Amino acid sequence: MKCTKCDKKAVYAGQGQNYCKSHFLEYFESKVTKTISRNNLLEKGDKVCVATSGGKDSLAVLYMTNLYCKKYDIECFALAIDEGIAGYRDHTLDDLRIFCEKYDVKLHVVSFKDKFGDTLDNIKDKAITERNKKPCTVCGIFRRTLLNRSARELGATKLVTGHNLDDEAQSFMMNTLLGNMSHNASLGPITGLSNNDKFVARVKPLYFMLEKETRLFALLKGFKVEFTECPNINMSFRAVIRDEINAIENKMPGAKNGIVNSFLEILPLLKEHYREKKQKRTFNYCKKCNDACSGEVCNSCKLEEELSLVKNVN
Amino acid sequence: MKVFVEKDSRSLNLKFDKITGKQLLENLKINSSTVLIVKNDEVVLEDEILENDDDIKILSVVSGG
Repeated sequence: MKCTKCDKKAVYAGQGQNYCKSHFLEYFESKVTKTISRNNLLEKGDKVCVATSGGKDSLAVLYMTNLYCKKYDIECFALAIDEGIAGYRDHTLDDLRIFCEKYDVKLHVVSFKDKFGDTLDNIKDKAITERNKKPCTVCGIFRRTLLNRSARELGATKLVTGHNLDDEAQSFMMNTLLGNMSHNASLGPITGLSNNDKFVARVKPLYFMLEKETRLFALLKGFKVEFTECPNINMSFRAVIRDEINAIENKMPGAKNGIVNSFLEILPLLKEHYREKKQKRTFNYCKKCNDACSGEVCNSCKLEEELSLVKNVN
Repeated sequence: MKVFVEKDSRSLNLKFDKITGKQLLENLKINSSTVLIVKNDEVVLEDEILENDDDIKILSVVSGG
């Protein structure tokens, strides 16, 4: 099969087009750049923090964000969270350090051990046996808290994540199946419903890119990315939904795009509906860490207490 | 035909005269939307003919947590 735009051999077929290597890279970069500019994800005066793990999505989004920020003279740096998952996170962080050195991006690394007192590897057994909590629940709460808090402390006005179209389709389906429509209202290329000084706005430049496209981009650009899968993934609901959606996509190409495009049609209505509900209640601030939350204590501090984590005081 | 399946880190030695990428994936029960096929260090599409002396890698696009 030949490239739709030239006579060279195609390396990618999708979205109704075939692309050779150079036209695929052009397509990818153009689509991500348009996502950023059309949705005003990054603007002059922003200080941009890119949440990055060293995996294919975060290297792709770090590369693209760095490119965009350099072009428009916007300050940009990378932030990595080390959860302490042996045989997984240590490998991806090594790849990340090499990448940041090559592309001249300042990198900050913050760890669970430093901030919460222990690694996820050590915490998870206690979480499962004593609190009936899956590792993904613990990891998700702590990681989101650390990302927001660290980005804020570093002065960021925007927090970029490498979430792609596959992630969004999965999130939408997970929330819908669990009856959590209000959570869907917070999705989209810019996440969140409420503005608060404690929250750094999260944006997703890879929002319209398929996971397959991001992997191919990373491969063709020569980013050193090896296949890595979190060892805790077999306990996650997301993995179940991911596999089901991929099975549907195999039989019905374009299904993932269909899910996300349909969702985007109703998103403004969801935001309006749930924003009204949210405006009726005021923010509280956690009495332990002072982060914005809905109760007296935020989820992260509650979890630390439940798991009896002792912070290192340095 | 040497085939390396990245997700399982397994290497296979298969004997086919000629097979398409699509047929190979079906044979291995792998969903094509979750992988990239690399033949002799070049990314190829599913319609690519694969031959016995080719070096094939099936790279997973699904990764992370």
